[in-house]
Amino acid sequence: MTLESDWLTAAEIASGVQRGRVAAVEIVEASLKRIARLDPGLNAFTAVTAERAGAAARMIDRRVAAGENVGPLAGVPFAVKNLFDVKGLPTLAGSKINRERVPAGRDATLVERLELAGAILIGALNMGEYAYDFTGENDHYGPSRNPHDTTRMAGGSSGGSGAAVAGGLVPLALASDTNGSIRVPASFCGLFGLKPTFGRLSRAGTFPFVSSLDHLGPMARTARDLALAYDAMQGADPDDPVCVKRGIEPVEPLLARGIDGLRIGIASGYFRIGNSSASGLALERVASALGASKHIELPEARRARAAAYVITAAESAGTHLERLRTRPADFDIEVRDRLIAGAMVPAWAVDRAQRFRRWYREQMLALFRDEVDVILAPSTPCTAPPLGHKVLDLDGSEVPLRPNIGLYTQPISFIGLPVAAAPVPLDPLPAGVQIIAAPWREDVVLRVAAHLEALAVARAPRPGIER
Amino acid sequence: MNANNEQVASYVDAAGTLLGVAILPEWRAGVAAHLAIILASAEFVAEFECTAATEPAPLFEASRDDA
Repeated sequence: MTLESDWLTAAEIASGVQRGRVAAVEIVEASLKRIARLDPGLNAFTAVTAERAGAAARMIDRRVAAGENVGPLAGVPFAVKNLFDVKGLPTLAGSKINRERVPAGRDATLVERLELAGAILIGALNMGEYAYDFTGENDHYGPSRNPHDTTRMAGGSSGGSGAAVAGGLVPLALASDTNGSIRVPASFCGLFGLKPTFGRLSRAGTFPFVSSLDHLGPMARTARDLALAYDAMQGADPDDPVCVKRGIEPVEPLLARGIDGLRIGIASGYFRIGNSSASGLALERVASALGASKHIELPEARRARAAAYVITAAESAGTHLERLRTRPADFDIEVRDRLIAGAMVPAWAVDRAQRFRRWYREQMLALFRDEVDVILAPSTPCTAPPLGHKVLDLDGSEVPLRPNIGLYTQPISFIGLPVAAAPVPLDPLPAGVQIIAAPWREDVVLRVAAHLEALAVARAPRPGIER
Repeated sequence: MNANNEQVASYVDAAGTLLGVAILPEWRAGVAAHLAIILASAEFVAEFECTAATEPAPLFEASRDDA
């Protein structure tokens, strides 16, 4: 195993460390060196916890030397979007205001669980302010840059997570997804990402955005790494009332099952309007590789997106009302006006959106029961736009960029369906595809992602940032 | 509800005062623009006929058996 390889997967690292072929200390040092060298150009990290990582690595190595099984993620460096609590750091959530928060007294639940599995926290990652973002840009900390072209967006709001993993700084990152914030950077940066079923993974110890829609999940360069991380993080959590009391259902052992027996459809109608040539091509390649030809109309998808928009606006304003009253000038200018507007949304609007949500969920569950096991859809209407870009060409019309990047992701997260984002390597930039299944079927979406990876149709392309 | 731009702007001014959120003059147009979009989205959702029997998606439990 070469230590100079920046493209080792989490599975490869864990195997090497557990078998004593490479020391966790060396893995961590290599990661820290790459961060020091490349992060100034990517701006993925807001904090690097080098001392903590070194201490954890030494402990892992001692335990391995003593013959212990340290876990399925032995020695794997990982980083977390800075809305996750990291003990000793103020939880920034991409903001200036949160710099003044008391440092977290405890790690977020998912951080604790990854460390229990042997992974090693390397640091905290940049993000769009308070997660109200699809670009990865940030007024206070600068934009996260796309490793495939550093003049372009990493995507958001988990921009730092996308940049860190796609740039080879760490093999694994944690992120959040409310309306698309894992799937968008996964698409722009060419990564695999998992947005699990709503309520599947604990949100304890994370800074909230929209309680009705917030999900947490991993980003990685392989489907197997997603599965390993997901399996390590599952389980009920008394500290999170939204986290379901569902038993742990390991997915990694099931990946080899492939796609046999799965009914796979392609989202039509709304999800094909505005496809760029790249996003359309990515979807076609995936559908062709899977032998999928059935087109599925998701009922009222446009209305679902509108309802998600309304709920997001209102609930996020509730989260931030005191800060809007006391520190309005300290918000990112792209976030502040939206939050203030959200505070003015009449209550009936949220009520109607939540009622529609129940109807829409029943329609979608019926589709998964009667017609398909998997639905394919593009992740984004475009590949990564240039930094600072404000408009998007959608089917010949110019529309505002920011809200429309999440066109295809919002109707899916609206009802908490599990999605694996799979990267299709295109030239010059990658494009992502959403692999969507019924609730609690993370096994299905990851099996499909793994199958596409085995066919080399989905792959995390390596950027040329060091050339 | 088809509010024009001036009506939305007036609503923003009044609501800002009631909410205790100070909106600087240079923010007003941006806030109004965002609110107009949200309200249009809300109208679009409200056009969908939900019967009185359709409960909102989130359900409150007075207690959980396993609590």
